Amino acid sequence: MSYLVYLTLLPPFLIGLLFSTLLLIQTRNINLLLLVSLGIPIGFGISSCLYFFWSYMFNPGQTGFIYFEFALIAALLFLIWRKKQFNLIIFTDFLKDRNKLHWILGFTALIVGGLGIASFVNYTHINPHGRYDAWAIWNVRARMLARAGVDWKSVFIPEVFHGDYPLLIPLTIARSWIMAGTESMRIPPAVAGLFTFSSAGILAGVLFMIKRWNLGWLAACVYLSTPWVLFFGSKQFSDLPLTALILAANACLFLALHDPENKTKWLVISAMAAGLAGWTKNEGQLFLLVYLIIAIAILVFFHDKKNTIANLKAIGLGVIIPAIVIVLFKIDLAPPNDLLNSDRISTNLNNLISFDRYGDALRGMFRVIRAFGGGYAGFPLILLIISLLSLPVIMKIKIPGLTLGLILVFQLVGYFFIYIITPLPMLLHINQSFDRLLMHLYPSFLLLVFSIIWPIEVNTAASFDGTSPPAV
Amino acid sequence: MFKMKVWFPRKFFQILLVVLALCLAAGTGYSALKTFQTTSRDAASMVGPEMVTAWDNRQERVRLILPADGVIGYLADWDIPNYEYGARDQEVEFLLMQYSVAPVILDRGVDHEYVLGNFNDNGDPGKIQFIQDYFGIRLIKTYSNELFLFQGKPE
Repeated sequence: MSYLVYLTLLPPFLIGLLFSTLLLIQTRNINLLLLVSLGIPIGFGISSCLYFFWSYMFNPGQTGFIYFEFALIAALLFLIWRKKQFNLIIFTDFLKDRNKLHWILGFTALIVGGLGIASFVNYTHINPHGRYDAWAIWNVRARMLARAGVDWKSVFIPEVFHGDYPLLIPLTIARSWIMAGTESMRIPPAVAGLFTFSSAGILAGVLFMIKRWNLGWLAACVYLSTPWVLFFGSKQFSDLPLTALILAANACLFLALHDPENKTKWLVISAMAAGLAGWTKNEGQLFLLVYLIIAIAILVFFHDKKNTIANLKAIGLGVIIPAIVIVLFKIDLAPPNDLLNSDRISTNLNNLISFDRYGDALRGMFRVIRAFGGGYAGFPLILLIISLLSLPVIMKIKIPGLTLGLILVFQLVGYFFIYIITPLPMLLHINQSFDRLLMHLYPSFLLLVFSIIWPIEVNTAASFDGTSPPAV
Repeated sequence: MFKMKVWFPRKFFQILLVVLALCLAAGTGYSALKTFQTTSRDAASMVGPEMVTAWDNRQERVRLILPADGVIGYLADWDIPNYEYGARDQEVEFLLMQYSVAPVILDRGVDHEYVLGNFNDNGDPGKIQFIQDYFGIRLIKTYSNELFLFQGKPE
């Protein structure tokens, strides 16, 4: 199988990169790392939605979609060129020489990232088809879509294992296979890898945006050195793609609340990422709901009340395409969900009022949290906790940090209630899935932590004057 | 919104932060290196194709004579009464078979025109005849000593 199959992944990435650039170039405060990293989840998400419409109108095998993508790329390039605001210095500001610590941490992040990629490749060599859920749910769906041709809608029947799961990843893989003309097993791990490593770039990129240069590199190191990140990423499940989209949504919402002048631009991308999260996994639809409730509540009641309508319009604009795709899929194609459907509603309700399940669920979830990260993550995480506890901080948690914290808490509460109402044996369900659900929130949690602690920059600057760090 | 103040000597604070940052960076480097070493060892110990690839290769010839799409039946040891089987193995093989024969969809039972049979060869020469008699289906093709295609009983 030729390495040229990787070229089929280029158009979605370019669409995401150019779309993000078009929206964010006017902020005049964007870095290349963030743009490139956002380009992956946003681009693959947009491409997947468009490919779903294409398949819905014709079929996945209908030729011509690549020309449609090229036309979109050309249109985006033209629109960016018309703005005439391209400035490389803005994009590469995070590479500017600051102090030795900045370079040491940046170099460490490169080493950790390189080792992470090598470990990911090793895992992929061991399991080229991914693990259980990959070939039982995600890659088998990609095969069905790529092979079924005009009868592709016939594969969404109750006999299919988890046939109601959304299609961002299966359509992305099927699209590449059809364009390449071969079901190359290079594609699924490449897609998994792009999403896995994009989260590190988004995490560091957002912290650079709020001038936490050293903490940005540190956060990327902590994320990429967590064995679970590489392990779950290489499994080729849709969990790490969902992680990247949840982080993209949270990060852009965080920046929207941090950057009042460019709020609507960040909100469009943030809402789009939240919508695409719902197109990645069913848990992403819970996230979309939590995101919309909290973001709208914050924008209507607490923040920039003068521009509420414009802000809500931006959210609506971002979420509209993924929302249409999700609704169309769920109403017209997807069979009923195995956890929540009309046949099981009485079981769900009985479980909800069985209060002894609440304690069992909490204990089961806590056991998974205690083992979080994998074998070697204990060391950096302990150091992180020590550093947090030791810091003589003057914390000023303002709206952006509070919003991010609320989203994380409500999403966890949502997961808790899914376990409460599950018709499956609860502890088994928790043991089989909660580690992956924690991964959905992990980089967003790191973003929250590294954005509220005292930035090292202020304290290591030669002219330390004791001023407060910028509040978030 | 929320304010907390704790006082330390400023110089001590500065040094502490840098030391902690460097310790954290070193810790992450150590963690990344250990993960790389473990995965490299595991990858190097691989002999031959892993389970899914080997399974998928074995089923290639089955795909060739199945219908292009649609639903077919699926029988395995877990459907034979009073027969010992590993529940987990049976489930994994069902899903692996589904992975291999996609976009054809497997439905457990015999209520379809074709039924794919995937049975453990336990040396019992009467096993396949018993299955045919018990389920009222007819053997069309034998792929191997474990894999068979039957004429089913469409509803």
